[in-house]
Amino acid sequence: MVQLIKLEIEGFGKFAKETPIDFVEGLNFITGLNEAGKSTVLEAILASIFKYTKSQIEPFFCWKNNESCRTTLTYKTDKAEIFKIISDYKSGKRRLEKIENGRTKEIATTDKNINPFLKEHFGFDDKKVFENTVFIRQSQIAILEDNLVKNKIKDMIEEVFAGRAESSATKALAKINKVAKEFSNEINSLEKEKGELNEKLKSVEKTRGLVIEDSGELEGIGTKLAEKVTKLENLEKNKTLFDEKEKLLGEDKHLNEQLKTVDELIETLSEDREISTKTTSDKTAGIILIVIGSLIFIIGSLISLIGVGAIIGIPLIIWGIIKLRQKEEIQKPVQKDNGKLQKYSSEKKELINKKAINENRLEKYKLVNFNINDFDELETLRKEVKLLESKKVELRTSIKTTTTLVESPEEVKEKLDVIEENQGELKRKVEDYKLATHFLELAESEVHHKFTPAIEKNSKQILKEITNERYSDLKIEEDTLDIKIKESEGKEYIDISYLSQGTKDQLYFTLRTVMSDLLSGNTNIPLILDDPFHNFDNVRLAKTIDIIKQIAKNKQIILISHRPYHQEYPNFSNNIISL
Amino acid sequence: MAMKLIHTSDLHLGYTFRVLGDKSKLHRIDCQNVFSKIIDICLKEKVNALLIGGDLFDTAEPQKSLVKFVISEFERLNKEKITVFISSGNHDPYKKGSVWLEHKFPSNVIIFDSSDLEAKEIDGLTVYGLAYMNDTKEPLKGFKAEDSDNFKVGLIHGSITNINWDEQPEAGYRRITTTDLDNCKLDYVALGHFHDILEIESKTKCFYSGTPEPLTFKNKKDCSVILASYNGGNVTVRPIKTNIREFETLEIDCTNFESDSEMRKILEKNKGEKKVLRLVLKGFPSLDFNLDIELLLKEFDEKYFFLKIVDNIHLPENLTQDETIRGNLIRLIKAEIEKERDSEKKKRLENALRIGIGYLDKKL
Repeated sequence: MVQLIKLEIEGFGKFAKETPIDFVEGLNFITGLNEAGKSTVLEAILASIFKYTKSQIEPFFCWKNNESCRTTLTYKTDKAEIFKIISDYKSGKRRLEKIENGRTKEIATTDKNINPFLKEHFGFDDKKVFENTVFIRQSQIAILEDNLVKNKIKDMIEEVFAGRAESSATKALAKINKVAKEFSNEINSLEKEKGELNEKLKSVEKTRGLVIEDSGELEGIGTKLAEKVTKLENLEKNKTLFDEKEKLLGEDKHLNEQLKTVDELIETLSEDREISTKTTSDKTAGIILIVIGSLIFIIGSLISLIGVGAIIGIPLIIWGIIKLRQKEEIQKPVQKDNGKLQKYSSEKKELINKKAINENRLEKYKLVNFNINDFDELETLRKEVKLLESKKVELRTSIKTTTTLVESPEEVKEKLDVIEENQGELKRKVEDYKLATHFLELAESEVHHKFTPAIEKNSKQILKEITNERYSDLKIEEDTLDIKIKESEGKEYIDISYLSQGTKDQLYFTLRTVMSDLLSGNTNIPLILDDPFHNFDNVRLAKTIDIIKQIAKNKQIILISHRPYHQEYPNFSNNIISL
Repeated sequence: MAMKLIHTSDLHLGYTFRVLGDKSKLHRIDCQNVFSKIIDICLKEKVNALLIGGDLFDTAEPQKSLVKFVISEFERLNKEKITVFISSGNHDPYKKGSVWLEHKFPSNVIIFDSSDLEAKEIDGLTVYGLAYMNDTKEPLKGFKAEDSDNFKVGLIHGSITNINWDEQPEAGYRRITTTDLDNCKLDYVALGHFHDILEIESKTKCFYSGTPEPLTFKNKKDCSVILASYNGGNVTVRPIKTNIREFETLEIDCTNFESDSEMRKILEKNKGEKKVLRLVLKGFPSLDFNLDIELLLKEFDEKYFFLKIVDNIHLPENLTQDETIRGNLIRLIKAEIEKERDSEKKKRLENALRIGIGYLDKKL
């Protein structure tokens, strides 16, 4: 029987000064008003057995005692050896001593060396598991009163087996499986997404192909267009030259015509001049005639042939005068024509000049030619170029739209990579969860297998004692932990859901006692009852006190409550500790 | 004659940042922005030339749009008569079908096209560079620059032999010994290939500019280009910070962590929109420490450009092993871990234990 002997507290919580608390075999009752330090006593016991972290212990530092924070717990092991664990929480030092024949022997001074001893003596090295197994609290008992919970006792067994309050392997497994399933679903939805992306990849690759094709075509059109445009440009240039040549030729023709006209005009005018020139010669002839006539007349007169001279000379003079008179008449129009002729001549000169310039220009166009075929070709080329240009624009827009609207295959591949990586991550997680499930199931079935027969066996005796032999046997289903009990007189095992509250309480304490012993490594470990009967009515309380007293015959019990049970129930406890 | 140069390398434009997952594309754009930033620096500093020491592109055949972008940026320098010298690198080697031959670069861009060191000269500046052609040559072996009053600069993608190349798998080729470097008679040697800024100890002033934007977590937090100024035989260098993102790896010992609130504190403290943080969790935290990495990532998604949490934590020693299912679970998995040789599988089992305990303890 593991038994706490003495707890000394100093500078711990409410206990500023050193306070010794002695425990005895059987039922120890710690009572006091609220805030008297009842819970502090429990914490001090826990802090002694389990190493508290700094953040765990700091709340218990006593503001009235800055110097120290110490506990010393003296206890007897299942093998009846007496040990003392001394803890100084300010320095963090602990010491384990063994008391043999009144002598103190230091066993260990470091946590590393102390902990295995404590684990062996108390069966646990995890404070929470210890609490969950050997502490019975009001919150745990409350479950027995909750009508909504169907398998209360079964839940309790599961909870104690699990090692954590309000926990159970079943619940944990359900949650793990649920989460694993969620991951699997996520993997599947990613798979779907991947499929969609792969489709997309195909399409964008096709688009990429098309774009490349289009680009190729565009390039082809570009070259073709360039060729045609050059050709067209040449033709157009030729055409312009040809047009210019035609224009020049036309001009030449026109000039020729003009020249012809001017020539004709000049010719006409020249004829008139010939006439006037002739008349001019007539004038000379006239003068000559007058001179000759005069001479003949004079000579005739001189040679006294005046008559002959007169006959010959006078007509000649007369003819000459006529001639002269005639000349004057003609002189006038000739003078007028000379001006015109001059004008025409200069016009002609100008025209010739122009013609020369024109011909000079035309010389350049000598080789320029543009026939009907050229005209046809020009038309065709113009159409072709127009068509190619519109096609080019079309292609370019299409390429631009596709490249801007459609993702590149590289981008899609990258997205696929990301998804694949996420999937990989999730798959690893699912594996982890499956592993956890596997081992948790294994751990659960092992514990069930190991302990359910022992619980069955050990509970019978206690149950008999507690129920005054009303119930003699019970059975626990290894897998489901379903419990049935049998009345001593009866033959049938009854499902516990049919039991009265009182019987359920009896069964509860029986099982808790048995389980704490088994789980603590087959030691008879003290039960610590932290005011669990808070809400009990008097009838139920009386019955429970009986249960506790019964259990306390073979086990140390430490019961804490602000309610003075010892006043209500005589011979209630072997040891009343009033704080 | 006073001269100024900007020296950069290893931009790896077009790189797929696998490690950044869905942020890869954004970081690719970052790299392009950094490239523009370098052009801005060249314009602002009114430099004479921009030297690119290889691996401008991540592949020899980058996407057309990317090349167009680079060309348009070079055009900006062309307008200001700033020459660009490019010695190609092992990622963007000079070969048939490569970007260097397939695209027409502006007239101010000089691309070295010989696998031997070759001099290209602009007013008062001689740049000795070479093309990368999958060769194993030692580019500076026995090289001596000709005497002249010009600013004589080397531009090489290669590996200096006297530095630790552990992190760089492609370190073996294009070796440059310090002896060759000492004797090369160049005023400045601009190197590419190594991804962090690094001065090489030598008689010749020599630097790796490093990448101007971090590419992996191996890179330093800050990246820069080098501004090299020449004033008649005297070269001074000044790094100019260029990076947009800050890559950082933080190792955290979680041994004494009791919950993930400590993690939250760390993540809160280090947050930054430009941060690319890789948080490596180490140590042996108790089984009470259950962290939900996905939850943390979601929570801090907005506060980082990219956050990665690497779980390298292990189980603490002296795990409780009592008779409960909890204790038995620990015992079973621990036994399995001890049997297991593969460290990856060991970690799997550790994870399984944390999951099992997490749900039993109702912490998950």
